[in-house]
Amino acid sequence: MNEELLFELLSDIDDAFILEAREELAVDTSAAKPSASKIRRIVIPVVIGIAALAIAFFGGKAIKTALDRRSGDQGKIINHSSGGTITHDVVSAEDAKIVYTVSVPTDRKVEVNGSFRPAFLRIRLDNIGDIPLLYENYFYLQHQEGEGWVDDFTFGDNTYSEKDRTLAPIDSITRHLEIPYDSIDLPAGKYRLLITIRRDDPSSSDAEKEYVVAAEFDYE
Amino acid sequence: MEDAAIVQLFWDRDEQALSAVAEKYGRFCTSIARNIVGSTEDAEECVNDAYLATWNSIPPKKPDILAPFLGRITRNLAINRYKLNHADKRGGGDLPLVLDELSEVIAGKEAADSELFRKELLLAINGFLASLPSEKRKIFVCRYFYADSIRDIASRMKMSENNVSVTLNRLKTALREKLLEGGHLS
Repeated sequence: MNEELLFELLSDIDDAFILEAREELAVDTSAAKPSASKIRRIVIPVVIGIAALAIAFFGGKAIKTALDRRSGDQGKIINHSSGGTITHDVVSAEDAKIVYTVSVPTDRKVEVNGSFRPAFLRIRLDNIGDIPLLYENYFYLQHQEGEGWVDDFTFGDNTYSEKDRTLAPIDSITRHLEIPYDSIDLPAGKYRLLITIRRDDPSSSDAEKEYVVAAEFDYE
Repeated sequence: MEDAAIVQLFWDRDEQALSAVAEKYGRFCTSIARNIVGSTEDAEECVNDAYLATWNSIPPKKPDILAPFLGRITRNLAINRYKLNHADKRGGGDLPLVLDELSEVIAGKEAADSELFRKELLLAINGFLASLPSEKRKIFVCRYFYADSIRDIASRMKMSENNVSVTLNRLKTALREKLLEGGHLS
């Protein structure tokens, strides 16, 4: 724990304290209107990008030991077909069931060395089980080399506090990870993005059990 | 527009939600971001990203009060931007000073860094804040959540800057003592 982490942790103090320190929020005053061009800059992503092949597995040995903090349970992989171009695989371990997909939208791009490339990865998590789940703030990108996977980059994203990273049963969430082209190259190929998920139930004996799930996608 | 109405626009996937939230909370979010990243341009980008992040999280989230929800997202995005800029030694508003002050809370002590520990530490900090008189708590939150400058806090609280600095020093000491007593620092 250092001062930066302490500062980050303070994002999660009680809502009441946050409000109290800004008394003007209690009065319904209008904020300065931003210009229309700034509003238009917010692109509401539409999934017209590259189809994502999502494979979510639990307990795979292929995951690097640096990520391997699971308690050891091996889950069962169930394959479902959506009938469309995206295949969802369901991770099922006891009552923890999650559908995890990654896609690469092409409707928002950034200029990189004279060419336009997708600006971010879109991640979707659907908790289709019976217990609340919490996903970690880190996403591990790997690319395929031969039969194996090689570490590429770790996305550390503190946008969401712990309470906002909790998925209740039947909850789903979409996240966007900005692709840091100044740190990674990302040539065309097959990739996967791994995340760590655990039960959000401090009273459970399995509270500290972590599950690593991965979703593969093609980047072109 | 009431927060409930704005949240409903998000749920209905009505893009007017973005205009509504910008109109009501644009200045609030911008001040948070600017305090952390320093530059107006970076702050505006953070705020736009915060609106997008809000669009993507409501639903399933359904906050009763938008200000803390938005403030938290904006703050976290601004922290990320600060880290990116900081690598190139750019910008930073008052944040370097704020971090320096917070380092005194944990100076010379070790603290664990696991999810469980962070939960317990947050509980202790919330307990500490709850125990404070309102005025002192506001000063603490203004400085260490909102990263307001000493001058701005003094103006907001109608105190002298020296008074604010002395109060913050005492609060840091009190927080450190509480964390030591609770075994969060060793």
